[in-house]
Amino acid sequence: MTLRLLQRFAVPLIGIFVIAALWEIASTQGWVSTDSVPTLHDTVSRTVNLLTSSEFYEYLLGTLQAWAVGLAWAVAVAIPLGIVFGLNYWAYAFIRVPLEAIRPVPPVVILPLALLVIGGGLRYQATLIFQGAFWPLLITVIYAIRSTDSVSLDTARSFRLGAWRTIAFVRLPAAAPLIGSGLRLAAATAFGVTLVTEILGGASGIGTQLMIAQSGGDATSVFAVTIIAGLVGLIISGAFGKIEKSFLSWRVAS
Amino acid sequence: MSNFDLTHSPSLTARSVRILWASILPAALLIAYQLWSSSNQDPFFPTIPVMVEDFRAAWIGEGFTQHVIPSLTNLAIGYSAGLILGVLGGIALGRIHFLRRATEPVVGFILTIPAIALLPLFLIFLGIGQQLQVGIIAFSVFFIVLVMTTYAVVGIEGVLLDVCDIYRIRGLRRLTRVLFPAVIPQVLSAARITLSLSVLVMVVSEMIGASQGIGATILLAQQSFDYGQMWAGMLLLAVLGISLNLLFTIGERTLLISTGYEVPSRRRIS
Amino acid sequence: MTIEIKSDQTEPVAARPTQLSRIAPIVSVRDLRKTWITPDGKNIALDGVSFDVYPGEVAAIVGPSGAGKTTVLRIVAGLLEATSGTTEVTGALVKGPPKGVAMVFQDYSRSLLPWLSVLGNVTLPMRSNGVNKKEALERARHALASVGLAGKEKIHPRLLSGGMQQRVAIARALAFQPTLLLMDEPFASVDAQTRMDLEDLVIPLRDEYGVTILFVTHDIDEAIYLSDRVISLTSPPSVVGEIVEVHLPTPRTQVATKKHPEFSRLREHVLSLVRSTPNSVSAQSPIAKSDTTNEESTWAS
Repeated sequence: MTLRLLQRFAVPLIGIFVIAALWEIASTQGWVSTDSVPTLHDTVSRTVNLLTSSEFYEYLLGTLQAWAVGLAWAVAVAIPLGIVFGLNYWAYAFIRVPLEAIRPVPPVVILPLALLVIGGGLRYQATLIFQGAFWPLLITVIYAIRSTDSVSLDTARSFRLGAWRTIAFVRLPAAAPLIGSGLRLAAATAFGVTLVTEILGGASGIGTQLMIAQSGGDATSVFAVTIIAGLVGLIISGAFGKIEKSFLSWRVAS
Repeated sequence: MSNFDLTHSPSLTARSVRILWASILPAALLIAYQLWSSSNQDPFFPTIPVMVEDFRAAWIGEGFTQHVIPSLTNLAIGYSAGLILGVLGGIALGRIHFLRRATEPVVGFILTIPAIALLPLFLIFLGIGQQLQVGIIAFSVFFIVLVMTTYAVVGIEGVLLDVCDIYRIRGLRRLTRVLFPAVIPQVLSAARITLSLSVLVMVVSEMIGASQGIGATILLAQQSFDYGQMWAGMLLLAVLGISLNLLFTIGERTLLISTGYEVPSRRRIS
Repeated sequence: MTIEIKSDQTEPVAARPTQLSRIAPIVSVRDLRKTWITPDGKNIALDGVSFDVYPGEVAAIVGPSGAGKTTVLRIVAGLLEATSGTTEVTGALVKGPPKGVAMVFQDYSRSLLPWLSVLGNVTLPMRSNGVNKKEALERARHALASVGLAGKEKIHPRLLSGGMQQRVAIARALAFQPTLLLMDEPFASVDAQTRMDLEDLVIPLRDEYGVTILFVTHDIDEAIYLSDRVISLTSPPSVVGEIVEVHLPTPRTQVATKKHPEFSRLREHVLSLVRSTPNSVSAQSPIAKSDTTNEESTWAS
């Protein structure tokens, strides 16, 4: 049993090892200047340092707080609105043009304006996160509700389920998996936007730490914080992936 | 009752009703904004004619050559580099099982890092200048295209590969006549996604690491409280996003037709 | 009641293979074994399969479901490696796809390249094997005409019906001018009517192109109708149960041949072989049971 486990993980581990070795050799042997690329061991020790420093955790918490608030707003508005607009074609057609116009506008575009109008702080971050996460999620929910397959709907009609029961027992469960994956995407997008608000807008969080390290020429910290950002992103993806899976268990068919 | 079945060709009146209905809100919003902004006199929110004029002043003429062209050039170089390298890498990873499994964890991890978070790292690595823009755009595009292409190559029908084996369709011929065409739909999908991403990355990287370009102009406007310039920048980005997507759709359709995936069809006018 | 018997249907004609049995076989399989290693243990699919296929004949491989028929075919095709045993095609050991072998797959829609036209699909194997463009086009056109698809060269396969797509695949195989044509349940995915039309293509094409055909089918009627010899495998661990010689009059037609008493006798015999007690100790699985129900209905039809 352990032999098989080893077989499964052998190749990926070899890959990680080779890449890590290349990195360490390149940086210690001076193939790349340590001003731009720190050594692996330095990076690792700095990462551990930061993860165990309470000061850094404050920044991390700041980032996560903004992320959570922005995401919560986006989800709380997008799901009910999405269901309403998804159920009624004419309602959707009404808002469609402005929706498609605003949707591709990256939060970074309205960042300067938001900064000037709202000033820094949680509200400004939440606004930008909302812009980034809300529109795609809304569109996903609308699409998910609209795309209930006709066989299920015909079945519901022939059983004379009635409007509300059809929504509750046919449309929502059918839409759940797609909404679940949309949620995961929204969470990841929200995280990215949070970092943008910190890197460009100076809101307090790990993004600002990144910029401070960069302007101070502290390559080791830049790498370390970037890796930590990746780890946080990984955890968020993982957590929402689990949520997405639980939505799949709602599925009525297959 | 659902009105979602739009597969029948609608009559002319039905279509015009739909278009009319869809135009109500956008028109209303524009009018409302114009009325509000002209009465409010808020410097943050200029009236629409002022916005149009600011747009013209900023981007038509000198602004175009000084800022728009360099930005778009960097975008083009970074995007194409990332795309080509991503496809080639994806085919390699897709076909070479060992390589794919070995690089999977590292590639997966890099993917979870939001592109913007990589900016400081790239700043340290590449310094300020054109290479920063091109580098970070190419990097972001590369990874997404790489993963999606790998996925596509792995998903090529086993029967197709059997056909290639049996009929001894090998090497370059297999690559160009079978493998590459097989992944085109997914590559196009990845290309579309990364298009908007690269515009984003371009703007942000210019805000931090450039003195010329669209992003730099917007940042400068914000710092000098030049709201007109700021709105001009925002509008330009919106226009850029829409036109690039349009161009992409046209190019996508041409590619699909020329490789035989789709047949040119005439739209029915009823 | 008098039955009109056409003169050329009165006596069964000796099948070609007996005359040719002293000629070197095109396919020679000796003691083929294939074991799959799964997390649940070893699974012996083939346990010593041996048979020959002679030049110019049509041979069918039949057996209960799970009997490893496709496994044998894929080993002959060089797409699968055997655990032990030898496979020779035109005298050479099979170490990978051998030269001069073409194959038609059950899943026709996935075996054709959607981005190429019918002509593009048919010419691709030839162009990949050193045939110049002019000759490739000629052979392709001829093959497409032979399968009844003349005029459809420029169309893309996805716009054709299932039967037509399989014809394209057959044309592709024949234009390749192989010595050996392998077919893996080629007509299993089409409807019954189309199946009859496609079956009736096989023997005339064999006569025209002079190719040897080895095919796998779960349809006993089809196996007997088309073949000169039927190779019947037992259920796993599979060996060759029996090789049945088919001496039916030519030309074979859907109505007359299937009415022939020899056809019924052969059908009963092969069916009994396929449905006989399995080689292994374990009882018939529920899946195998439903499979025999299907065979029952084709038998009755």
